[in-house]
Amino acid sequence: MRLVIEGLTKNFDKKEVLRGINFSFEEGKIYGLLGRNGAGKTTFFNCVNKDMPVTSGIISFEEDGQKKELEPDDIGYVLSVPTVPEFLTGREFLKFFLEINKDRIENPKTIDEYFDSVSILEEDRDKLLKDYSHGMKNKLQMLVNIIANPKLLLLDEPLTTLDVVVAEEMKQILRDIKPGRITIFSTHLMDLAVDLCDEIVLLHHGELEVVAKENLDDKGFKERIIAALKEEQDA
Amino acid sequence: MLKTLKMMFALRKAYKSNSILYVLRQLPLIKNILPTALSQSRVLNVIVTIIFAIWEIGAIFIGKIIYYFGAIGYLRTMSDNLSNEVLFCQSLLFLTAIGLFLNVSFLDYRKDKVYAINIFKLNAKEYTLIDFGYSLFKIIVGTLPVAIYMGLAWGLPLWFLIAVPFCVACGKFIYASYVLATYERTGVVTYAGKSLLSWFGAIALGFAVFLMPVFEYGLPKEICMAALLLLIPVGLVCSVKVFTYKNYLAINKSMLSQMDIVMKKARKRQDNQVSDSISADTFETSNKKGFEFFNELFVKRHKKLLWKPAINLTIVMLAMTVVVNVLFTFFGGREECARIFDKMIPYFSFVVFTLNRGGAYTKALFLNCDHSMLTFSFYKKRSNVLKLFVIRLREIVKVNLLPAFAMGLLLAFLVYLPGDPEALKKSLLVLFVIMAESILFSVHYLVLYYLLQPYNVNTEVRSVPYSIAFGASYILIYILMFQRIPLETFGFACLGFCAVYTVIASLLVYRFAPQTFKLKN
Repeated sequence: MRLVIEGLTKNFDKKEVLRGINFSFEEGKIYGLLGRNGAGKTTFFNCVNKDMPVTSGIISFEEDGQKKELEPDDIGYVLSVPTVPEFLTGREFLKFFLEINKDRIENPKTIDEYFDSVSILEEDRDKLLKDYSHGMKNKLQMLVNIIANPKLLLLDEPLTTLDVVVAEEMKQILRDIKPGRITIFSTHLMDLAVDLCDEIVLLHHGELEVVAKENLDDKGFKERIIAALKEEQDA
Repeated sequence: MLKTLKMMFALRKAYKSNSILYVLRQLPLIKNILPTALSQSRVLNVIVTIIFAIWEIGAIFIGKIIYYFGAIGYLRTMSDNLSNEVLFCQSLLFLTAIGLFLNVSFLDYRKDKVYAINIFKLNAKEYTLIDFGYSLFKIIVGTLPVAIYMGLAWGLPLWFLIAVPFCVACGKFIYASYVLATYERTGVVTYAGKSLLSWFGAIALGFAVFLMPVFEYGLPKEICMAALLLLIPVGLVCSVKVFTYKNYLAINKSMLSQMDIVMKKARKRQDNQVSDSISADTFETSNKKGFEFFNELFVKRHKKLLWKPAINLTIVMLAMTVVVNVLFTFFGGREECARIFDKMIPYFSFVVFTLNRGGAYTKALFLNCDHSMLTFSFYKKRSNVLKLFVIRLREIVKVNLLPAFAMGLLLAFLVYLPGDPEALKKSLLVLFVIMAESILFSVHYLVLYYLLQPYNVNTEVRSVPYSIAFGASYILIYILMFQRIPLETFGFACLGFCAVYTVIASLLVYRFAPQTFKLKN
């Protein structure tokens, strides 16, 4: 399975934020999406998630040579600021989510098994979500986005504000679930991108470009990324 | 000085022009024909400058015309015996005093002042005095022709009418010097309208100016004229303080930070009101499934915001029904009461609209639920959007219908008081009309919420189309309030409109809501 982007353009008035992007993302990989502030990373995610109409271009999945349009069920989108319905308890939110999505969840587990998988403690499961900490909300948001097994997981700087323990847990979850799906992860943290992602993709000049690691060690690789990003500023 | 004056106008123009452009940019159809780089378009800038100039000049005169012909002219209708001169002088004196409490453009908060003082670092003293001077200039220019025109027609001497604008303008110096003096003493900027005391004072004077002609009580016109003229020398003495005061930068900074805190607190209070309305009682649960489960928990956990006020209102209405019936049993007057209410039912449309919980419901829906849920793909699926819309519509109709039924019952009793079969028919019609209106407004609130989703991701209302649609409905219902339409005519027209509107609105939601109901940046 591949996510194929063809000629994706997004303009705000006359400003061209995404300039005819042609790119394909492969199944089973985590892509680190890097770009300077205002490069259009969130715009790119919003276009893929259909939160924003595109100016032109096609975004589709390609499976066995067949292309098909992205459906809402195909996409999971995790934001940096966790958003969960605060009037529900963690358990109620999961119950609701499982009921609504029961047709597309293969091998469903019990609610407690799901909580265990992201290390949310028993005593927290029946608390209102408004009383959850930032990290717990983030884990829950991630959990509901992966339960339904979306083919495409978009993560917009999800680990930036988490403490080191929760961030490590989340990274491990992402590594565990990467087979069978495409994960695109936007971040400003270079170390995190190099550590977690299989491919680094730069969004600059409104286009996507892979930074090849080749034979470089991590230090050399980071220098190459910085050089590419600086090139954008110089351009 | 000239540089500051130029900067002040440039800033005011830029601020107002950008507000005009922002509104234009949001309007459907119009936004499509506007050039993309709005602020760089010369033609558009010329048009906006003309609008700004018309606005500035128009505001000088329109305000005064409303003030004199609206307020003082209205007070004329309150009295049969007071002479024009007495009424004019007395009303002007009291209204000027109210203006001193509430309307002095000196160290009051405006956005362009924030930019001028905090960002552009203009000379604070020059800026404050020029800004204040410009407000006084507008008072004089605006008041002079209107006061002369009206005053001469009402028999007042020309010399006095020429003096009137200067009396009002000089009066403002008295309050300005008070602001400076209290700041020196307390460190607090008591700009006009800040203290509760000034509001009480203004309200008391408002009652006085209204009730005096009602009770045909007039102050001697010479005393009123003397009091008004006295404002000139006293104001001039006070102006010395205003012109010689040195610490304008500090007082401006204090005022801006004071206002900043007030606005932040108000915003926080508003946000917390909805967020705190979530009941912490997790024992309240639901045996339903899916969206019904989701909705039931939302309603149960927002009892404070939804059902509690509705039930309280119902109790009040039912109690009033009992009291009214008891009173009419003892004191009579049933036919007269029924005759009055027969034509007053349109008035209660406004009451039903005001008491509707739709606004509070949709606000809580967004802040405590949809703001987060709309980030999940499954929630935005067409079938799910429509399923939840139907459930929510049913819920808000239920919440509003209970007090509407009680109000309908109260009004039905008032119309039924004569007790004949015709009155019975009419009272049933009233009951149905009030309940239909309640359903209509519930539909209206929810449909506007789904079709024009007014909030952005920061939970601020930023949708001009929503504001226009809501404002227009408010004005329409407000106008309806003053119509005296026979009950049958209004009742059947209202029932028909409710049915047609509900059907059309539901069709619009079915067709467009899956595209329009989303988070906005």
